[in-house]
Amino acid sequence: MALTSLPFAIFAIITGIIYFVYPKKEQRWVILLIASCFFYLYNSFRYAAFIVVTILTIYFAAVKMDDISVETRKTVREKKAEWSKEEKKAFKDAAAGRKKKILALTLILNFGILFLLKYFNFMSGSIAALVGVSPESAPQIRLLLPLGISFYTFIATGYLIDVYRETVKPERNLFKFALFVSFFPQIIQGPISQYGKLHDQLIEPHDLEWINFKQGIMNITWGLFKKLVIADCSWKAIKAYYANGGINGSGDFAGYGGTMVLFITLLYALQLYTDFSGGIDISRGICRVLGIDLEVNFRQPYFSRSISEYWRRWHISLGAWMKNYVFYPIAMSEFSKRVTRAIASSSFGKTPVGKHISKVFMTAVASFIVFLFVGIWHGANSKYIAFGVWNGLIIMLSAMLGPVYAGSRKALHINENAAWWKLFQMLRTFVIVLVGYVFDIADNFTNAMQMMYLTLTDQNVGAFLSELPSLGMRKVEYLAVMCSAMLVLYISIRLEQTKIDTPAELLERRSGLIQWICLFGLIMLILLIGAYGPAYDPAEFVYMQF
Amino acid sequence: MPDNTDRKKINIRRTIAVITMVLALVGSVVFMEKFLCIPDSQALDQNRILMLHKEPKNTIDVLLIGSSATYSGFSSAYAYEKFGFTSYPYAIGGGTCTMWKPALQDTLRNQRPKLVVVDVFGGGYERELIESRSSQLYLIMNSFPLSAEKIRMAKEISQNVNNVSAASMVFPFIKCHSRVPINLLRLKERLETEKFGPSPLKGLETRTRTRQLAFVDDASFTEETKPLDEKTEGVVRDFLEYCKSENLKVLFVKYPTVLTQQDPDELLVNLKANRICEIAEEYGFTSLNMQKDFHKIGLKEREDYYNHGHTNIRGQKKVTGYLGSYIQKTLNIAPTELDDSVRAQWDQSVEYFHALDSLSEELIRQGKTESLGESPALAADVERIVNGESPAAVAEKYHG
Repeated sequence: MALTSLPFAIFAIITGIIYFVYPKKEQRWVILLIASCFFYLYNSFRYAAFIVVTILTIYFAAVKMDDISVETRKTVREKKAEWSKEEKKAFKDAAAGRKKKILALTLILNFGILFLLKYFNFMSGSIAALVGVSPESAPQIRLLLPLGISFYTFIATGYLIDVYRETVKPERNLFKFALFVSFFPQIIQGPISQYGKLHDQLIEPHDLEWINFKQGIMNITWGLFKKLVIADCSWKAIKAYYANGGINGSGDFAGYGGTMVLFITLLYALQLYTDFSGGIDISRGICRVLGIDLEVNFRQPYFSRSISEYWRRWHISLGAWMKNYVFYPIAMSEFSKRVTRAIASSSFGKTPVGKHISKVFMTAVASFIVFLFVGIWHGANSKYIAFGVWNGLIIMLSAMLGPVYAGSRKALHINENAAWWKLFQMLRTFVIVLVGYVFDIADNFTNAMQMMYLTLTDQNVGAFLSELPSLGMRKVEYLAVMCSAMLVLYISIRLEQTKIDTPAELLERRSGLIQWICLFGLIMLILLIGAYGPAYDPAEFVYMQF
Repeated sequence: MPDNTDRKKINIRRTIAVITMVLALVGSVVFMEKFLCIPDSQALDQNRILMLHKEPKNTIDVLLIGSSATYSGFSSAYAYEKFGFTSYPYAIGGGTCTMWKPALQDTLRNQRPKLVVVDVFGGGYERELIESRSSQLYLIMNSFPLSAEKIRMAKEISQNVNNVSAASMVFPFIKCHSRVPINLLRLKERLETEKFGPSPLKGLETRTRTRQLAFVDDASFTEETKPLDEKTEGVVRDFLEYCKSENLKVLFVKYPTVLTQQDPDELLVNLKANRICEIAEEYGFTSLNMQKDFHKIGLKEREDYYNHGHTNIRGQKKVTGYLGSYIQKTLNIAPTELDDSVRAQWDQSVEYFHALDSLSEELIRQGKTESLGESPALAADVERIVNGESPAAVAEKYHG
């Protein structure tokens, strides 16, 4: 039941109707829980046990950790007069140790499941290859991935760490917690919601409000437009590129040249953005109708002026998760502080360069590790690891070479606020992003390197034009994708200028008639040029596979 | 804060807006589905079906179902002139046996023919081909109004044809929506066709050329049969059961083609067509294999064909004469008494046929190959000849 399918639309409408007509408002969250359970079982019945294990282990671990905290505070309060400072500290440390053990065990279990299902086969094959054994003979787990496992594991573990850090109180109602983990609009491809931002909204009763309904529908329509008109039409060409064997060719086809590789990379950038952000728009739109404000996951990422900014605009919730639960723990760890101190106290650390390096070194290392994880999160393949390493390296180098860039800008008298400079930065960042995408498109690391080499050395427009028909798209389809992409670009510029999150909010500034006309026009465009129906091979959301 | 009356007004306004929006969307989709979904390559087939439904209720004596062999092989107006019965070809280029039942069901909405003539050729194809042809079925379903019957038909079709969903058969817009922007350029023409009819051309289609000898005629008719695959036989038998349940008289025919060893697929189709005739006879239906009577009909391989599978208007007259005679004399199909206005229409169609015949001959003479088929534009051209203009003058606008 894909987000863009008719059965899902019917399911979502029925859920919405029951939710709003259910008379006992304080129990409306139960409707969402039942709908989420139905959705999960319908889509991933065979693997439902995995999400149940995650819900139960994290629920009980969180409750237990909270019990320990409460009990500790109570005991310390009661024994305030009797215990010495050292005794209190020892007692608190023992409690913290128990909490840490619970946290570690629960995280190991849940990430262990994720690792086993998602990465075991890759690791097993890689190790086998390293020791000279055929990867085919390495032990393999023959299971499909449970629906949304990366998303719900991160959502649930993030909550557990928050409870451990005592930044949130644990949910003591198992079913309410189950709803937070399995909430159907976000289970397929996120966002990776934070407990503090989502949980209360799910439990609070909501009434149907006109503004929510209108903006929700607009968001859903905009998401469908991006997904069905741009992403899925572009996917047709990308799929043909793969089917024809890419740069190596297959059968009688000799393989594509460098201009085509560049074109496919650009098309992939468009497809990936519209596919993922389109899916998020649909999810956010459904939530908006229900009165729930799901986190923003995209803020015009291709307008970023640096790669670190790009990752603050692309898949924002994953970036936030990595920052909270990977970056800070590494950057603020005792080890990092020791390394920083060691560099600062060395003779190198006394030099101007050394001073800078001592300040940013561990931050840069932490960033690198974060992006290595981001790459691994995307999938078990060397190309995703290379993708993570590439992004990590760029961010690491940017941090380390910051003063050099600043000095160069100053020497060249570049005005940082000049429009051309901003545009140059955007283009530069986009090119870096495209290089990362090449790893994504390629079959493996070697293939990615070949693609990049070809892009740099084999630019031939004539050959490209002769290869274009092999992508199986008609002229009218290219035109439709191009015009639609222009519309998305225009809306993105307007959103960027107005600092507004959604086109629906942008339209609020216009008259009612204009709003209706825009909605009608958008629906008509989807109906007319959208890639749906038996003439198209429906493409799953790209991020669903992660 | 708006008071209750204001709130009520706002709510009414919003409800009206939502309903208007939904109606506008539904209306637009229905309009586009009706006029803009069918590709240009199928426009003549679509017009033919549309014009069948413009015929006065229960005035068609003989319904002919099949593929291009049917519309190129039989002229309803010529048969009317010769034998007095009315007929109409429900024929779609490339149609296979999966279209027989839906086409018949579509026709039975308005007509109750005394005889149904089915071209067996469409049942003789390889299974993969039969399963892959869906555009003909979309054409039929596009003609069928939304009803429980249509939904039932759609489910049936989706089991027989690949890559077809029942939903898209009920609402062909789901499948064909991407054609709409292209077809918008021809909206005016499509709307004109909608206003046109009943048509004096009676669904005829032909191509204005004689056969160029790309194939050597080195194969002859055989009565041998070849079994059908299980699924195709199921489709054929289901159609036969349906005809029985509707108490219809059915004649299975094989239109004569030029046989050649160079086209083994076609030879295989002929063997399978023979098998379909056998199956039809099991159900008590008659069959007529005109391939056997190729020379008896008087067909000439070069003169009477525009390619090896299809007769031109010369061959069409010969096949119509032969088949019409069989229908009249052997099957005893007597013409229905038509009221004056309907008879006048049919009489006019005879005039149009002869005018079209002369136009076709003129174009063949001038070496201009054209597809002449059911459309208001062709009817207008033919009318000029009926009104006294010379075929040569009318032929000037055609470029071949």
